[in-house]
Amino acid sequence: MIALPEETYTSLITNNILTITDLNAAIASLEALESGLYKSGKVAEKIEWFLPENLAHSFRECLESNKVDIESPEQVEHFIAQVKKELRATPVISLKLAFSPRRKFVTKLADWWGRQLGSQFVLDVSVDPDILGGVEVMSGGKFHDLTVSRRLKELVTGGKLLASRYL
Amino acid sequence: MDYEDCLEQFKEYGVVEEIRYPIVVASGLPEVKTSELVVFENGERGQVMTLSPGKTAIAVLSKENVAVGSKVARTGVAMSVPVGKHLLGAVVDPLGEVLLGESPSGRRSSSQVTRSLIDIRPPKISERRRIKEPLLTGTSLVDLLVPLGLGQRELVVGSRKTGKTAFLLSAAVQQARLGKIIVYALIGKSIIEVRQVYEFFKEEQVLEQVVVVAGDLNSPASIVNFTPFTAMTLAENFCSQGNNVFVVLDDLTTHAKLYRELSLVAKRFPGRDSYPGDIFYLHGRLLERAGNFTTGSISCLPVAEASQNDLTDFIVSNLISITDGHLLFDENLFIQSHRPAINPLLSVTRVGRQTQDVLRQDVSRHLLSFILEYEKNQKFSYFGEELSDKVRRSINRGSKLQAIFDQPVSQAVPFPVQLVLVSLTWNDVFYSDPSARLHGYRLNLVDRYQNDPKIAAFINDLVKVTSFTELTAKVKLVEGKILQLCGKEQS
Repeated sequence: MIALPEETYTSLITNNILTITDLNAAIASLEALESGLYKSGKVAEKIEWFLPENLAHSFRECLESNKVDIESPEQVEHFIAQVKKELRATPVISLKLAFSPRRKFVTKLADWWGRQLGSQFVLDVSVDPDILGGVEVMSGGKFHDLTVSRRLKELVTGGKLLASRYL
Repeated sequence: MDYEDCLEQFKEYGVVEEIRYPIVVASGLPEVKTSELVVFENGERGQVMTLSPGKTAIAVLSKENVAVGSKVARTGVAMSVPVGKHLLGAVVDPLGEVLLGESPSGRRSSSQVTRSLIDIRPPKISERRRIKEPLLTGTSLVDLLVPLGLGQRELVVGSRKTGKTAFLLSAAVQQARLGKIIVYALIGKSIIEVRQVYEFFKEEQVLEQVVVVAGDLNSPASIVNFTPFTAMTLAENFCSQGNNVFVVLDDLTTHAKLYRELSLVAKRFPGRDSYPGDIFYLHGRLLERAGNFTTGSISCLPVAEASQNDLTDFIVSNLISITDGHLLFDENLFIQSHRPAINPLLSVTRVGRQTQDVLRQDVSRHLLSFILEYEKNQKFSYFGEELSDKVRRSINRGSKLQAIFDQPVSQAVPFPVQLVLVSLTWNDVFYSDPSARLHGYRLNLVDRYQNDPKIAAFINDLVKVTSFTELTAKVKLVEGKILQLCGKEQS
């Protein structure tokens, strides 16, 4: 058994995996690599072949830092299993936005959340134009509605009588 | 309340991580409580079963499953069901939805429906009264030898197919005719059985006083598990309106098995026979809700299955210690064609006797000691010894009494008629009659009693005595007239 230190995939997460979509894609790539490990050819080549470029680079670094023999398919397979397990256990912060964010904005968001939380996480960003603006946050079992639609609803409900006077 | 509303109100959510249908395990929900209802994204409901750090086991209350990754929100309320008289005449599921039969007062809109929590604390002792009135089932063997009282909880225990349901249906019909409200719970039965029970009440024309709560086999264990609680909640509502309610819970062994299934799937620690540790508490707090109260009464007959008359079974022994006695349906008696196959010597009634007047107590005492003697004599007769006249007479009387006690379903015998028939048998009036003929006599006498007020008054007057000896003497004086009413040809 290879003991997996906590920082094993830190670089994988911080560099490449920001959203749940990235996370699922990374897991899918690792599974593809896992299935191809015992086919003829070198493992190092397969890493380059099956994983996206940036992920392949981080993965190789991880293997080295964890002293996993890159030529041993058994050791790499075991390592992949542990990485997958840890990736799947990554806390998710669900964000609902009114617009579809670009990658740059998502990176900004991830940076901000990273500074606030100081721990590993991935973002699950969904889009709902009905919220008009702001964000709906779901994290650690708690729900926070910080949307414009919610705020407007409160204003309308609170000022119903006032509004009706002028209508 | 839908998912969005609940999320907005409680600002908490969980994510389904594991499915072991009908249990799902969710993470999140930091402040959820046990037994709290939760709502899934797809609108399905669930009830919290167990809580562990960071994880919540939820029993899904629908036939549809939920997906891994779907979100769930708190509702802040516990399980409740619609209650009220509008449910009389209907078959409802454990969630209170009408499955069959239109209630006489018609359906009500959801705003008009009163709802009650299904799992509440039983009433305190200050709200209870001593059990004083008898509960007459119309079954001679029970009414005379193992009497029940209004508000009593009497366990009906026996092997499969020994006539328990037939007895319960007969008792329920008799109670309905006496003006009681019947709540009949079918736990884990097939849809055909549910239909049969419904049709039976319909045929007996007592449906408007009956609510059938059916947790059928096709529903998930998480829903069927509510059946006895829903039945008791309905009964409590009727009772609070001043009614006397008769509740049948058929059967709690199945309920215990379903609860065990749920608990094991929810990874609760198993105890004896793999049942969870709170199974006694579960049934205890359910049956404690029955009794005689200041407003009305809830008489409860839970059913338990005991194979080969084994009363040491875990659930059976639990229920025996919770209830105020038990009626044992003996497999051997059933094989010997006794109906109902109740063994009066192994049955117990803890509060029923206090409801009996002096005459009934005296009759019961005489009959029980005679049955003991009869059983002893009968064993001797197996040896093929030549029997004395006294023993032969005793055996004959015993077999005739047995024939009097054998009665088909839905052929309830009014209590005064039971007393007269027993007195006639005691006087050896039927000595030379074949046992089979006694059914006809009983049928005739019951018929005359129910349809002729003068005869009813005559028989009622006859049983106005204070001892069994006095009764048999009085019956002997008018023997000819009664035998005529029975349709017996006299030499």
